[in-house]
Amino acid sequence: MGKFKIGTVGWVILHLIAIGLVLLAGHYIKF
Amino acid sequence: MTQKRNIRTTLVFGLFFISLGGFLLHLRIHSPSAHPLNYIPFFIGLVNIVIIPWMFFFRPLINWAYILNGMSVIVGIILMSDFSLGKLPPELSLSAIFLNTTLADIMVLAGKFTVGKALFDLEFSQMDKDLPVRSKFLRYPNLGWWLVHLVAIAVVYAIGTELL
Repeated sequence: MGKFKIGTVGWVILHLIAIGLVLLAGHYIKF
Repeated sequence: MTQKRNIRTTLVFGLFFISLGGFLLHLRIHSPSAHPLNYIPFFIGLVNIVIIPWMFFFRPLINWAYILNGMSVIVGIILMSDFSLGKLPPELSLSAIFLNTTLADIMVLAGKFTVGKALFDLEFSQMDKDLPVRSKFLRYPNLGWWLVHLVAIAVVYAIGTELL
């Protein structure tokens, strides 16, 4: 699968950013 | 040219054409000049046409291409589902679900995801056709991992919609 490691800290930061962005998207996007 | 390179080029062009088709459909229905929200599919579409397919040509970038491709599919599925759920006809029938929702567009996205997965597997699978597939379903890069992310992102998106 090749080298693909982001580490535990990277994983947590990535998920926090993603959760924040998706929450904001849910809040602001209104169809 | 090797067999692998030939298959990879074919699949990359498959991805390119599916993305271009989706992009042009979006452009016809939701022009960016009509509403600022339409810039979301516009730019995601451009990335899907111009950047992601070509990333699959380079082995160090394939993990990122696979993730970007899959995540853009998840974003598309969730946003188009939300769009459809807000406009469901009062009397819901099977034909209404098939013909009057964004189900068709979501199926196109599912095709795009599977082409990306085929490209990923082409690079990292053993090419002996008789080898069994050994994998943990819920772990990256397998399908279960994607399903978990689809559900999780949909739940977080719904929380953002309903609670914030």
